[in-house]
Amino acid sequence: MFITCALRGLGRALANPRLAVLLWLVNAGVAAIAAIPAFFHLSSALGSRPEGDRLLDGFSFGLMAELGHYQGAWAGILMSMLLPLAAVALLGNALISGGVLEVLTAQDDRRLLHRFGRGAGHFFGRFFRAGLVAGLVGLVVAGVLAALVRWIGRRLEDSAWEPMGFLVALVRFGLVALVVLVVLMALDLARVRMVLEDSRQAIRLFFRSLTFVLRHPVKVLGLWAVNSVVLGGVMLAYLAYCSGFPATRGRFILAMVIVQQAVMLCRAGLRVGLWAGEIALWERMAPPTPVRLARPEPVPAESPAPPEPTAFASTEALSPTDPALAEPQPAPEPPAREPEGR
Amino acid sequence: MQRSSLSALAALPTLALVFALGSDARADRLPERAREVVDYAINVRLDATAKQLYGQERVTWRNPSDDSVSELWFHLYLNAFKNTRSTFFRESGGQLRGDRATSDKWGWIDVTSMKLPDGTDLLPSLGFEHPDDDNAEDQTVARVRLPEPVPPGGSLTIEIGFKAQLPQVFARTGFRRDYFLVGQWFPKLGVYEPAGTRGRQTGGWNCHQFHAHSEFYADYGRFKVEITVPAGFVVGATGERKERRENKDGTSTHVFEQGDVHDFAWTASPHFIEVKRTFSAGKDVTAKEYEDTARLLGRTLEEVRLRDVDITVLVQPGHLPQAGRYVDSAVLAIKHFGLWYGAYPYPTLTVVDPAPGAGGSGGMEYPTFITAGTSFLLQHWPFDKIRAPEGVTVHEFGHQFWYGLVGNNEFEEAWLDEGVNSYSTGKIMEIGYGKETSNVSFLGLRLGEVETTRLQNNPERRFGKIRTPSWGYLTSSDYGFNSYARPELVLRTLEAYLGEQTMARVMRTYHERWRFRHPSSDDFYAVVNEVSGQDLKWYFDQVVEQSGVLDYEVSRITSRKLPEPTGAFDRGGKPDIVDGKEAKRREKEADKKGTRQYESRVELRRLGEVAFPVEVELLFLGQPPERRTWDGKDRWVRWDFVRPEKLVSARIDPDRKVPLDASWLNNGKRVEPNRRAAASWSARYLFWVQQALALLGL
Repeated sequence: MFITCALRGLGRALANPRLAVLLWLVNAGVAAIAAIPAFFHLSSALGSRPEGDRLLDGFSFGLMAELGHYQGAWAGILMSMLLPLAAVALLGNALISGGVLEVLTAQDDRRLLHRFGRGAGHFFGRFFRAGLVAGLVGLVVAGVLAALVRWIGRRLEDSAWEPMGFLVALVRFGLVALVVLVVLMALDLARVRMVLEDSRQAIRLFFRSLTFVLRHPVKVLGLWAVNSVVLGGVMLAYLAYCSGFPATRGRFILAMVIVQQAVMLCRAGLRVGLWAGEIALWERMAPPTPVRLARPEPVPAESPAPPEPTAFASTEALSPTDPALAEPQPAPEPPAREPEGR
Repeated sequence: MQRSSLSALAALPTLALVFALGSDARADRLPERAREVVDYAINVRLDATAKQLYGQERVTWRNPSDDSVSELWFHLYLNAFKNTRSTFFRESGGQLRGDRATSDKWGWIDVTSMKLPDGTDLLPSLGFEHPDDDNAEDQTVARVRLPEPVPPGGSLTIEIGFKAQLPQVFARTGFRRDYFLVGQWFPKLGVYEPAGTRGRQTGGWNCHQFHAHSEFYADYGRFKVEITVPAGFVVGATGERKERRENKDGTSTHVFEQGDVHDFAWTASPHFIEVKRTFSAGKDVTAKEYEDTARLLGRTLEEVRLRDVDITVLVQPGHLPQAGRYVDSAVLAIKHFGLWYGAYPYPTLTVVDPAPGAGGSGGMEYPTFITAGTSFLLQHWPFDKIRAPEGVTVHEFGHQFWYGLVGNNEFEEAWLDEGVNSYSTGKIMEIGYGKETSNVSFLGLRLGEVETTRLQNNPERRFGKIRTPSWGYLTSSDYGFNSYARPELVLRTLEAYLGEQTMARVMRTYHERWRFRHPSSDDFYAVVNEVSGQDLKWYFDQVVEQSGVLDYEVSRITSRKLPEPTGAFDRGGKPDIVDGKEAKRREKEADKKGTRQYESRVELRRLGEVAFPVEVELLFLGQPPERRTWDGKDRWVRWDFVRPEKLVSARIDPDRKVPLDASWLNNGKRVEPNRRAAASWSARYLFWVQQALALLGL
């Protein structure tokens, strides 16, 4: 089932290329805040220094260390920019998720940017709350598990079997990664449900989604795995390109930048595909109850202006506490959905 | 792992010729034996359960001086691990080289008896000394007063009983489960230095406390050690195994002997796997290598001839696939150290691969016995190209020459063993594994020896000097840099300055002259001056005796079309008034004719305290590079040029002959910037920031 959902998700991503482009632009724009000063710094530090050309032959520990020693303040500034960027990314994540999910689920004819902005603004608060709770849950669970493995590791410290220490570290890392993944998937699903149901019960939906992920780990993580395999393939192709065509000359540098951004565009598309796949999965697993109002009919230009379309159902009518929605059960057929992008 | 027997056969006739042409000069230049000052006969039993040693030691000391000596000074190193008040613990904080002491597994040594052969009890006169820091709680140095002084040239034998508790391994010595690396374990005499030794005015004992960073110093002699361990334990030790006997009490006794050494260490574990290989002086070194070395060093072929060595690697079962790496690197080291400095004189070499969790005992040198170290990860791709086992084996073997055979005082002048050895090790690693990849060749990342060493050098390294007692540095990092990395860079820079051949002869002569003796830095300088025929005091004063940084930079470079002069001139007796307009016209005309000159300027600065002559390469457009030498004594120099060609760039030390230079990045400058490298790496940075943001959901 998860393969079907993943493929359906990827199909929907392909059908919404502008959405992937939008995501890529936002990503590149934020990253440029860090990269542009880096370019000017490196230009001033290396541009007039013939020794800097060594970097065209590949990474040089020595040169980087010298840059660090002589241009330490700049390196510090560059590094310190990364933390605010991470904060921006986490805030932006709530906005972007709302925008993308709205575009993928809403059934009106408004322009992409309108729908995106509408979703981003409408869902930001609840998505942010869910994100905070997810972060907290992830931190606590990962911390407890890591501490437990560390405690076990200490008991095994005296083991004569050398890989034991490595294995313990690996298990610890794996468990933390798994917790992060499960929490992220639960957060994604909770956001999908919030959009589909226009629910304001962000925290409750997060925990219900977490239960859902834990009950159906193969389906949910399988969806993620399919997406990751494709992403892995893209990254491998990129690394192969880089080793085949090192960026030593002007045109190769330009080509590398183009390839890099193509990779990021692919990654943005895959992210859209994952969201769409999650929607598909939820639609398959959830009871076939329509949760969104039918999209209003297009209004002729000469007609009096219709009331502002309300994309969301009345939450009173479809309370998330409705037992039918409290915990989804597998359904034989996906609910009928309006086609996208009409 | 054996080399092709075919190539060995081919080399035989040449070898025969080589040795037939040899002379007897070797014996003159390279001492065969040490002047044996001490003899140790030790009988020790290991209690593998309690991790304790019970020993009986008979030590004979010969007075090498013209003084009457009325006391003996001993090292009791294991007391460094006795409590947190020892000097070692105070300085190290209970951790060394990344390993931390276990709070409940202390180590110590108790001298239970000390008698003269006639039964005179010396124990009551035994007291602890603290020559370095007046730490009354440190018990790593003991002094015993003798009833009768030992006359010049006389000797004395003492019987010592001792009991030692081994610490859990974290600093060179101790146990881990049933693995034992037993070093610095017996009461060991200090060095009585006669007047004149290492610049001493009067004779006296040199016996320092055990410090966090210091290593050791002892006199040459003969060791015969009988080690009794539980049956089934594999034992390795300094020297040749003379006997092994099984005892009725479920133990076995291993007897090892070695002369001309100044320490003895051993290891025992039931899990060791012994891997053996003989280094063959005939097969592992080609005739051409002998010939090239003899030519390089100005020695006869006989003088550079090596000897066979039996190599034993005691490897952990989990590291068996890496045994070949240890063996190959040991062969590489025996060959090149021997060729360059003089044959390794001992018949055996034992390489110990420490047990898991006992990394603190790795990377250590004892005579004919070294500890290396690896990880199971390093036998798997892509980590197998991280050359840690090779590097540590070559380095620790190198200490057989710099510490073992040339027995400098490691406490006071660590650079003479660690630094000189790092220099030698680096060169051999480059030969064995490539200049750019001698240390790491991992997923496209390459790290050669020079780059690795230079990573530690930077403009902040101006607070320590090389010739400093190892406990006299401000920080551990300063000790490491000034004992290992900086001396290596100093010697590489010296090599580039003197030339490869002269430097090779310097090192060879230094080794020959000081084999089995105790040199100081001054003795090294004297050999350098003598062999090179230059007085290099100016160099050693700056880079060894004083702190300071060597750093040159091209601070400014300009090149522009020479403007036409304006004003009133006499041209052949006629006045020539040139105003701005006329000047522009003339400039245009000159441009058209292509006769316009360029006015170029280069400014060089000495940023560091160390002055050193440097080559400067100037590149003018369309011209071959031109080189100049700047003596580097002034803090800056400015060169102006008026030439038809535009200046493109200026570069100090274009051949990288001065690795001691703290920064190579500022060594060059060009007139027109080239932003390709910046663009390339900024794009990469952008890409990975994008990836990180995507991971965070953006």
